[in-house]
Amino acid sequence: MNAHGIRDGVDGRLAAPRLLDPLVLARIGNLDLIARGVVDGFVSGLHRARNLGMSTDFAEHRPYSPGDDVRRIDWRLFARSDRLHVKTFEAETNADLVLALDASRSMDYAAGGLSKLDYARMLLASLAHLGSRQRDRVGLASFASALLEVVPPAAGRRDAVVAALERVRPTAGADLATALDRLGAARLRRGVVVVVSDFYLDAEQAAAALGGLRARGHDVIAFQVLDRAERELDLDGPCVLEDLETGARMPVVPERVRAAYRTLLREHVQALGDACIAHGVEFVSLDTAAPLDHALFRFLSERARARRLR
Amino acid sequence: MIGLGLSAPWVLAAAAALAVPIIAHLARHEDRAGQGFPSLMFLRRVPFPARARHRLEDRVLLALRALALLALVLAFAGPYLRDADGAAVPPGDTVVLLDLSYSMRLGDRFARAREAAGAAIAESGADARVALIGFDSAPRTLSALEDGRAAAQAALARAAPGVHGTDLAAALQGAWRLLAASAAAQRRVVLVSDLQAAGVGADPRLPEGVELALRAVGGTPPANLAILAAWREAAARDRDGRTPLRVRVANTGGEAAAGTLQLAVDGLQAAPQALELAAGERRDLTLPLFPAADRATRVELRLDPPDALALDDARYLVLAPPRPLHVLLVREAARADAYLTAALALARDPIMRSEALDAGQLTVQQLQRADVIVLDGTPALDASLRRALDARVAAGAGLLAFAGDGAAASAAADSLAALPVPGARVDAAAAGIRLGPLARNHPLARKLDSARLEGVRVWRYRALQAGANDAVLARHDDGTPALLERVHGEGRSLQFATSPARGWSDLAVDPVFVPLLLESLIHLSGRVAAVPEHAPGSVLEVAAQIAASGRDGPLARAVAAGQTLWLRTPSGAMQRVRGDTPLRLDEPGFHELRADGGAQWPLAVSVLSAESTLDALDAEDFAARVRRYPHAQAAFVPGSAAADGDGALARALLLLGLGLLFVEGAFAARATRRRAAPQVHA
Repeated sequence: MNAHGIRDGVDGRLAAPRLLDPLVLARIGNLDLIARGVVDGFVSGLHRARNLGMSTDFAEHRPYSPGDDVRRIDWRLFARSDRLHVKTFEAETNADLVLALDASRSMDYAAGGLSKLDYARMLLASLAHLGSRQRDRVGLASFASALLEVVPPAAGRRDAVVAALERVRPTAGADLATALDRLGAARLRRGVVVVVSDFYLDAEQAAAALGGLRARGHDVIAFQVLDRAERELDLDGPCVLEDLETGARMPVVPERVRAAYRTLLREHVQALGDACIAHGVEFVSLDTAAPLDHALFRFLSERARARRLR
Repeated sequence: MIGLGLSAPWVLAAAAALAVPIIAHLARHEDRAGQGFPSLMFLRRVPFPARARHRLEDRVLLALRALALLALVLAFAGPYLRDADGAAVPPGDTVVLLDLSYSMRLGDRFARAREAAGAAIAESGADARVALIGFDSAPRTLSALEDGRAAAQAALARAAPGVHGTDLAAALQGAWRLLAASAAAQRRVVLVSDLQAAGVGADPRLPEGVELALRAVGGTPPANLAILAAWREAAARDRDGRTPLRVRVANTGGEAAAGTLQLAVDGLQAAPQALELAAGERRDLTLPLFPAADRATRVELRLDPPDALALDDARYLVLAPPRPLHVLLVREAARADAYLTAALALARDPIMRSEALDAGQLTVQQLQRADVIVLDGTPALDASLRRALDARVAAGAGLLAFAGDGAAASAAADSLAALPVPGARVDAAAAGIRLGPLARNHPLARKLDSARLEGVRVWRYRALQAGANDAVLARHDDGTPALLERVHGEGRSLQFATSPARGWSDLAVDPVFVPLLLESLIHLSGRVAAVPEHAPGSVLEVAAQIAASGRDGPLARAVAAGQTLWLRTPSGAMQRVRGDTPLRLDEPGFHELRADGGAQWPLAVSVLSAESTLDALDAEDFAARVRRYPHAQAAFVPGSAAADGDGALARALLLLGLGLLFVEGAFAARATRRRAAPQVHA
């Protein structure tokens, strides 16, 4: 990638700027705009046309036009305004989409320009936008050692969710199991729960916590977000590392421990994936350097799979 | 071959400071701000230690720092180049200290000392270097290390004890002065002395590692009668007011002794007194004395028969003729001056003859006769008297003034040039104010010693304004001047802001009053007290001796007339004396300052009584008193060969160290900028 955020093509030609590149997106700043850009660019051609369906959720009035179902004419409004209007309703939602964001301090790590938390924020904002367009009732829960903020899922809550995402700040403490347990205990309709975290806990514990949500009937997708430097232990020379969660310090010679560290982390990710599968949870490990469409593709695949199962 | 020597090798210990930048470097490495990382969870599981061994970074920077420090340490260690003459380091350097003080004249002490010193020189080894230092109250190098043993033996053969005292501490310092520049593996000091207890000196010390061998040649002293001191005792005046002479004689030897004490005054013998003293006994005798009233009197005391230490059998004194100070007390009319005249009557040395009169009775002739004029209470003087007074002070007289209610000068023309003008009267609060201390550096403060002005309470004073030629000697505690001094021509004046009179201050009833008044008068008169006797080796100022003989005495007049001045020693040698050359008196007996015209003034020199005290220290006792200290704090002994080097190498090293520090600073700044630059990981 060059200085202008333009990725060089494989064959050496310049390719068009990719808005899905996290570093490019980070320069935009506006989370809502990012989400729209990502989703509009990614789902165009994949999604069905918007249609208003029959449901109990009132959307708006519009002037009557020939061919409209006369059963939808609002006679009370006609009595007041002497004009014919028909009621429109939101199409029936497919499911609740609950976005769960790990806001612990370990998510605040950024070796480059984009922290894991920012990446997760963009990812969830994009999912919120996508879910909203697909008539999902979108909600948000941020957590660290406990639930920090919950936006209950509802239709038309996309803006509230995005605003809540922007408010999320790194918070001390990390207890995924407790936070997800409390989230599961909330009276949520069955739907899709997307959990974004770096999952720095025992793989089985993490999978068990995610499996708890699955057991309550939710479709659970777990996104693990890791930084490239974190994944590769790509550090410059001997240094003292400070645990962002606990504050503990440790002098490290990266070249000596890199291989063992990578193996341990890879094993952990593998164990996490295996445990998630065992608990019926979709698990995706993401790199903050990876384009957001990877995550979105996984999300849509899961949604399609869930729809097929229904 | 050129070798490198260090005049202060102990400074090399500071090279341990080289560890400081390394430790600081590693500490900084350890304590640098931690780099945030999401979790140490997996790093802690790494099966081998992830901790970095202390590793040096920025090695160039560290090397520069260490080299700079090393260069600075070497520079301060006093490096110098020396010609090692191919033979490299000499195996051993020995300094033989030979006691040449007066006490070594006793019996066969010096013969034994010469023998012991000769043996020490001979046994110093074929390859070793040896030096010979003779010492009494000060060390003198008789033969240097480079001169060889033959020269040392020759110098030893020429050495003889003198008439001076003993200072063993100074002797050890002199030995180290030679050894400080030595790079010999073994450095040794051989002290040959009678180890006189009175001659240990202040703080005898040698550096650690320098061997000290003692050759005590004292032994049990034979009988030695000595005149330890002679002085005039004012308190023991006879009925005729004459002051007798007190003489302290002692037997400082180990056996009883008998003899006679002979007093001679200006060559006239008095009847001898028989003496018989046991070993160690001291006795004070009182002898009648009739000194001349108009000239210096030579007093010679002698014990007969002469014993082994002949010089302490005689004592010489010069008694200056009594020269009373003529004090003219000019008072404001109708004022009581009892406190002043009473205080003047107490003066003994010199006696003060005072004359008190009212301002209206004062004449110019009276002013001419006075050594010091005291103006009590700001008396009013007419213009002719003021001019006469100014002239008298300018000619060398003193002027002391107490403020009072008398007439203040109404105009500048009415004031005295010799005296600061007192201003308006100031009445202090009912509780009064107090005098502050005298200026510490003023001679008056030194003479008054423990007597202090601070207790004096003042209720009334006159404002004083210090002029360009005035010195404020004391202030009131409210900061206003209390005592001013003005130099006017050859004379000087003191102006008190207050008066000892009742209602003004309680100065008259304060213990400081009498000494303050008398010392002030002596100070103003410029009178220099004559010293009855001097120790051998005394160095005197010619001008002070002429002043002591009397400012208007025959010698002063002869010098003023341009006559040549000579010093005649007791042995009859004549030395021409110049005004700006100090006199050195070595020979016991009467010296004489003589002018061509015949005017003369005697000076007496007597051996130190301490040299007559033959109590000796045990060698082990003395060795225990010698304080040892880390190696060459003594390298800075003044005059040591190393310290005398031109220091070119040290300067070069200093410049090198500073240059390296400069380069290091530039490197460090660059490294800091490099670290501070943001690191972007794409």
